[in-house]
Amino acid sequence: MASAYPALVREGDTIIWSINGDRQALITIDKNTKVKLGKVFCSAAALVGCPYGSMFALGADGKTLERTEYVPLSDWDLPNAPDFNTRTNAELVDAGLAHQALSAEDIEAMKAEGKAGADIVAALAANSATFANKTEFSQEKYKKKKAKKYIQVGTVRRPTAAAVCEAYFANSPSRTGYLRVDALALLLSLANVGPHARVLVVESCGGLVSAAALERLCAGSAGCVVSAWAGGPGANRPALDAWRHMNFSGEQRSALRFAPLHALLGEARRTQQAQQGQQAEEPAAVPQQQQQSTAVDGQQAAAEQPAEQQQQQQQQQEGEQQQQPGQPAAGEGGEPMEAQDGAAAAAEHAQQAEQQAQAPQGAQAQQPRQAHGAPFNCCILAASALSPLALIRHVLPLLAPSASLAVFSPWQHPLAEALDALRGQGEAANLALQEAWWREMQVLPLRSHPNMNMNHGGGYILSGTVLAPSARKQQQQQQQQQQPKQANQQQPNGKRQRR
Amino acid sequence: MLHKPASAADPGRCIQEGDLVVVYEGFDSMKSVWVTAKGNCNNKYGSFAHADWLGKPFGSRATARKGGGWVLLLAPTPELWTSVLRHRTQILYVADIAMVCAMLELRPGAVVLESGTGSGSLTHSLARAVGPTGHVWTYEFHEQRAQMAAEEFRANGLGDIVTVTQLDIEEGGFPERHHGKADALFLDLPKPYKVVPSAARCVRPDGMFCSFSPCIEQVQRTCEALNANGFRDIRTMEVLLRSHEVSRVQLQTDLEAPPAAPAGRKQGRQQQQQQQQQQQQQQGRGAKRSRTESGDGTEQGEAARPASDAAAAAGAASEAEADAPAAAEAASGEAAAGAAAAAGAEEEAAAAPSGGQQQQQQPARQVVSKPVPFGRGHTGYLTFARRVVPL
Repeated sequence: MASAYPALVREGDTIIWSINGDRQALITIDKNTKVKLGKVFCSAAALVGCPYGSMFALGADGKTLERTEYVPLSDWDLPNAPDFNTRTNAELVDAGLAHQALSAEDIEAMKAEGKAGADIVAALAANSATFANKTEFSQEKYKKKKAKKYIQVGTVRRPTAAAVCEAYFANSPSRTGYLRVDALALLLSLANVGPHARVLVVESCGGLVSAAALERLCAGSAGCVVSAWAGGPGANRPALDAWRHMNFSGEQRSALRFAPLHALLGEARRTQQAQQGQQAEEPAAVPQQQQQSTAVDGQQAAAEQPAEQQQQQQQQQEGEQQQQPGQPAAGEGGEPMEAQDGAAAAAEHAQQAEQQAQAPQGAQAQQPRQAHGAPFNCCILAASALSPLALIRHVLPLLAPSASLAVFSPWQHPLAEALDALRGQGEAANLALQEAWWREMQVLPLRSHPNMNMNHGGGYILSGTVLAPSARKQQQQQQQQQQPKQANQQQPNGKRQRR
Repeated sequence: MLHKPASAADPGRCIQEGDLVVVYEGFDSMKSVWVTAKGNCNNKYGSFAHADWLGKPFGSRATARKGGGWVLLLAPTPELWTSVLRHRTQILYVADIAMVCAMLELRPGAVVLESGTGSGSLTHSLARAVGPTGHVWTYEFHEQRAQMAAEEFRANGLGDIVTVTQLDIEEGGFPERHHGKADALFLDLPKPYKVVPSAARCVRPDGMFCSFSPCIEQVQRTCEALNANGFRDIRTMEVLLRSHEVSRVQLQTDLEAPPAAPAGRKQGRQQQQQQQQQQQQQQGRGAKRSRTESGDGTEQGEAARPASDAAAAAGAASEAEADAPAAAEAASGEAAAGAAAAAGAEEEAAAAPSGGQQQQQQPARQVVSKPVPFGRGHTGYLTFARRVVPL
């Protein structure tokens, strides 16, 4: 079996190019790809064959990437005693540039001489009129700030679901539906996603949720991820291509299927009818019954596959075209989510993966397809434009009894409405509405505190467990029996009665 | 507990003898039950014979043999297990667990080290994440806890994925056989910083480290040790889930209308007592959940039951002992809904004799939600770090 974590960067891999740990770009590596470090575009060829986690800086020529050693942070070098840090900033007056003896030209000259970033930072400190009188903590902060500017180190990071989610959230959160990594993590846990799970995803997060679920599935496991969309037969497939960034093997990719919800619902209906018909004729013939449903599904799958393939290719082309104008600039430094050269390579890589994925299907065409449909025992809904209540009720026929359900929305109210409506209807139990809260801390001797900025947009999650249809039927019957007696007590708003 | 090829082939599997079932009585009350041929499950909703459950799909409702009380039979998941497991120690809850699994970059096939095992709450999720092709090596210094955890993992079908060993990791570090072999490592120990050098030997280059500590002093020493032992990208964070309670309220829109009948907190003591009595009666009904009276569904029982707890819920949730914060909080959410429903019923009863006109004028209740008044404000700090890749 291939390692769960291939150690080396291969040509065709997508990587996260992380600059000084605070700016990220998704880049697909091929011979012509360039990666940006500082203001220089360098060939990404140097990254191929290096282990994930390798660090790179500009070489002496200022044009090529060279691997560099990790240097532990100096933050921890300061003495850790309460009577330390006795200087004060009482004398410090902000006089702007007057404090710094080095001019921009001097610094450019140093760079031209090939001085290392660390030397420039040291020179800046030495030529600062105020540096010596700053408190030790202020000095440390000053050096750190300058280092960020003059020392650029790029790290090759593995595009795990969490890392891709964070990169998108930092650069262009709208493309992944404002899904923050803690919320994504919660969705996967609350929906009970793991190897051999059958996962249904409906999302407007660019395919990130489906890809994250696929990452949790075992290669060659019995499970599947079906990424579906609403909108009836006329709906186009939305952008669901985040999986292309995550270097899935063909075998892993083959567990992911894209399908419109109406097709899944149709399949489920046909399977049920076939089973019921069979049951009526021969209640004991279980194996035959399964065979029949396989055949039905196989036909359906065969009919559907070319269309899906076509759609995927179309999507791919659209993606290529869209990627350039659609690139949101990432604030200062303007690092796009994907280097421009990366886009074409991404598509190529994706195509390879897709071919790999489809190869085994030729051999056992119907078997895996049949497996990639309802019923699902895990369900993640993260399509913020769709009413959660309507969507939950829409997908309910696709879910197995006791399936775990997790619904994400950036807004609280639609989920509250859904919880209120579902509570006590026998469709789901264990319902909870929760808000994701996440805060990072600075931890340093004598100066630990929460980060000055935190993100308040973690969104809301409605979670629950789906109940068996028999529990639902039972309840409906009871309601019907009770109805005549209660008719005169009907609430004016026609909502569910409570006594 | 975990998905299996069999469960993938037949997700609507029915309950069989020897299965673990989570008996759901309400949000704040669930328990795990092993199904046996002659077993009986007794609670305040009645006496349930396991034999009646056999052949029902998970997610079904089970009715008591007498009195018509009922419970729900849910399939166990690591999340439900966290709510029902026997506490031998403080445990991790879903917000921290989810973050640990995501940020440790776990995937099927991964090898994870854990210490201590504690009550095994996190271990179940680690096992799910690394799957049948990976492995969780978990170490616990307390002999009895290690034994009980091992039994539970075996019973819950994790025996092939999880290995529990009794060993004091804080004193001796992880065994040598793990050196360079771990994709990820998790510590929940009083002095995690003592284990960092051993962790550095175990975690492969670019592998992930995580430590959970309630106190910032522990975190600081751990971060210092991480920085000195070849870890980078050190991040410390807190994650919480803030529960929201959902209820329906009716806000007055006709501002010239006389004040509505007093309800809830504003009423006099006598009325309050009366209401409490009513609620208790209702609870009595709800508790029995007899077939005739639960006509309007699961909710009847669920809403009525917590209604009487409404006053107590806030207090209960505020208690540090409320070990399942989500449960307590969400229960109070249900309680609020139950209370609102009860109040609404009274109003309707009062309005009914005076004719239909008034009823028509009543504005619709609207769905509102707010954070529960008390919840967990801190569980611990999660500190993540990545092993440096040597040149």
